[in-house]
Amino acid sequence: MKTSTRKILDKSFSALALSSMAIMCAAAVAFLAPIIINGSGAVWFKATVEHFKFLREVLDRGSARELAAMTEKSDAAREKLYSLMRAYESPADFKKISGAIASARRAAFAEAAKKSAEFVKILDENKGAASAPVIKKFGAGIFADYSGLVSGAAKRSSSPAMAEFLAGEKEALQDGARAVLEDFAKIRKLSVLEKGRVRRELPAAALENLGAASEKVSEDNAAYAAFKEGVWELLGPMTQADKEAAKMMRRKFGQTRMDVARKVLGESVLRIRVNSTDSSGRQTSESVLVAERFKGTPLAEMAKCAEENFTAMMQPRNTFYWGFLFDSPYDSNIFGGIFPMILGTFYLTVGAMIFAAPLGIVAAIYFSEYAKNGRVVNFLRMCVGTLAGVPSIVFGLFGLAFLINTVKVSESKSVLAGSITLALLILPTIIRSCEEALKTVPNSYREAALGLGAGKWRAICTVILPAALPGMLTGIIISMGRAAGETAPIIFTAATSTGAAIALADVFTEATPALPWNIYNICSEHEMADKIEHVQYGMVLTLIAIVLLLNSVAIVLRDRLQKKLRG
Amino acid sequence: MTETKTQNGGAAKSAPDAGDIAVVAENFSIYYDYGKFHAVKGVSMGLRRGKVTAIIGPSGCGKSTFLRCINRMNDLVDGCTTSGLLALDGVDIYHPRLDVVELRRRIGMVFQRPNPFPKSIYDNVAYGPRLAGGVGRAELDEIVETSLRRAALWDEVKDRLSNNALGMSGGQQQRLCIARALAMRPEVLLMDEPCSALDPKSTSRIEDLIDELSGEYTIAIVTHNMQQAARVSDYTAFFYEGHLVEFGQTKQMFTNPQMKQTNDYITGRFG
Repeated sequence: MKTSTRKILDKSFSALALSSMAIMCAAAVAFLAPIIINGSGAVWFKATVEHFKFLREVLDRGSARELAAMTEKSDAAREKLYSLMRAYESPADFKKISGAIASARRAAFAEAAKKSAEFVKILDENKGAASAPVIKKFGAGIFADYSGLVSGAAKRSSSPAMAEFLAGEKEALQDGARAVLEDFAKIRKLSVLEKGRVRRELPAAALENLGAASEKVSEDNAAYAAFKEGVWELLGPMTQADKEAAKMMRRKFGQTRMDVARKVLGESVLRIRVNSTDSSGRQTSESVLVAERFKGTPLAEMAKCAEENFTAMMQPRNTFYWGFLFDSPYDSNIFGGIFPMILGTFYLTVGAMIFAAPLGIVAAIYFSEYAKNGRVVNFLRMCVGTLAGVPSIVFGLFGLAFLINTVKVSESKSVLAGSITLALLILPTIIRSCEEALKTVPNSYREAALGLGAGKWRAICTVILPAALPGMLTGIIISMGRAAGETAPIIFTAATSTGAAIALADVFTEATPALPWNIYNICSEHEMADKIEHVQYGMVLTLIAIVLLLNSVAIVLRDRLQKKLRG
Repeated sequence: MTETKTQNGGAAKSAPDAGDIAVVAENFSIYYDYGKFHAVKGVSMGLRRGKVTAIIGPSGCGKSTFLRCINRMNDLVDGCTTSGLLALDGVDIYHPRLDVVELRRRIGMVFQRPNPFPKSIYDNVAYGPRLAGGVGRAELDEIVETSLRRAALWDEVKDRLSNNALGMSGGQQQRLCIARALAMRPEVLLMDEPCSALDPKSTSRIEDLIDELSGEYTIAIVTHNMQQAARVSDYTAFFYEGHLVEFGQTKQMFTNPQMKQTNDYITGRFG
């Protein structure tokens, strides 16, 4: 081969290697960057006044004076919105309007009574069913004023009280129609059929108008209720009474984070979901922009007010919430931190090490120093190799079926059962890495030790183990990282989705939340998964940090020990 | 040990010049691979007390194997078996009830490559005595110092006894290994090509050292270097293809070899 060809080959290989490494780095960055950026957002973020209220009221942290100042400002801004809402709910002129409508109704029936003779004449002239449209027309005439008032009121205001009032009006109209029959009866006796026709047809036009009005009012009210619900989600309960009545913590406080608050504003306040009937008559719900759909109504005004005062209402402020790592979660991780999960992961990992490390080291010493190449040893080696290839979910099932159901190490899931399962999972890795580490100890060390009159065991303890220590520790610590991140084995044996941090004394009987399982849980099973992205990312970052930390500890420890050994 | 000694009294008597000879081999054979390979074939020779015996021969002739059998280092090799007699002071080295650990304390060994432990210089030398136990701190200090002086290393390392031994030069490391062996106060010192990994200057220091140690210790040294054998040894054994071809005083062997093979080897015709 020519020199130039060789050079080109060498260079192209270097280029290939470099580019593949570059791709790897890029992949790592693309993977880690969002986790680090979003995950750190769980600790360092723009908090709203609600966050400080939560800290003060639930965790008894933070300055009460500062909070009071913030609350004052935000309450002043909220009052603008709340006053609009209150005005909508109980309009000042409601009494006047409702009174006018009621008296118009009474006047209409009085007029009908007055025109009894005229009415009976109509009945006489139109026999049977032919009288129905005529009666209706007659009714429309006398209820014209009344209907005008109802339509006007429905257009102007559609508070819940109005809806109730209109429902009452429906009954009043029917009662009135029954009452007016007696006035007609004074002129001549009416047949049963006639009575029924009059009762139905006299207020028919007014009822139709009333129905349209109340449908509009109830539609408006549903939209307002959705809007109000959105405002509650954003700002928390409107009154102290609402707050005390709220059962779940998410109903006691508004949004604690500015980013989520902005999302809620956009999705549940400025836009609301309304029910509509499509062409085929099916009920569907669609998300509509309040400002467009309810243009010119009080609701649009409220939405505008909420948008304009948003920042003032939330009082955002950059904050460093270290409690994310050290606080318990509240209301399924919507508030508070992830301390129980971190602690659970710590328990499980350390527990797994307590079982796996001694066993693994002893087994590795046996394989490397004592075992001769016989059938039994080969079989044992094969077992270890097979164990390393078993899927982790199978270990989880084994833990449930054997440790919990058969051996009964605990009543149900417990840290102990989870630790043993994890230990079994990482045992093959530990045995392998420790054996490799022992094999790298030069034979000359063994010879030297034995040549100086050390027994085998003494040689192992005094020379071989210290020399193999860096490699063994590396293997063990990296296995720890694996144990910390395993999910499948703990699903059946140790993990619960919720729960408080457990005391050290309870590890034998209690299940614990743990990072890997809870990450799955709050990402896929949580009802508000899209509102707690920061917690999801925060947990992932914490888990990655734990694993990376363990690995770097392994590297540093190995380097230090190796330096010490090399001299 | 005493018990074993009486049991094997007969063996001791059968060795020639028992008083003068520390280690005796009689028709001693070594097999590898569970008897499939006959590495050393019926060797009969003796290591004279206080003398240096060189074992020479071409590669693969069994000289190292023989040396390593003297303190039973070959026990580490799977499938290595022996027959015949090998005795230290009249005690059968391969007696099944012999305490190997005790044997190795009496027969020190220095290996081809310097193999100090990755510990401090002090700990390296103190390793053997500490294993034996029953030594106080002051006594241990004294043992370390004497051994290092013996190995002509004391002046170079006395100020850095706590440094890691792997930081020393190759020659120093090998002398440390000798000091480490001497700290056990062995009766016999086996050296398996102790200078093959060293530069000429370090080699000559080791050779001087062997010279100084002779008289006090029974030394067996395996070497590829004929000049070295001629320089340091009192007796020489020539191994060829597992057989002991010739064994005698070094001076006589190098001036007037009895066997043709010895002559060929010494004069460099082969090997």
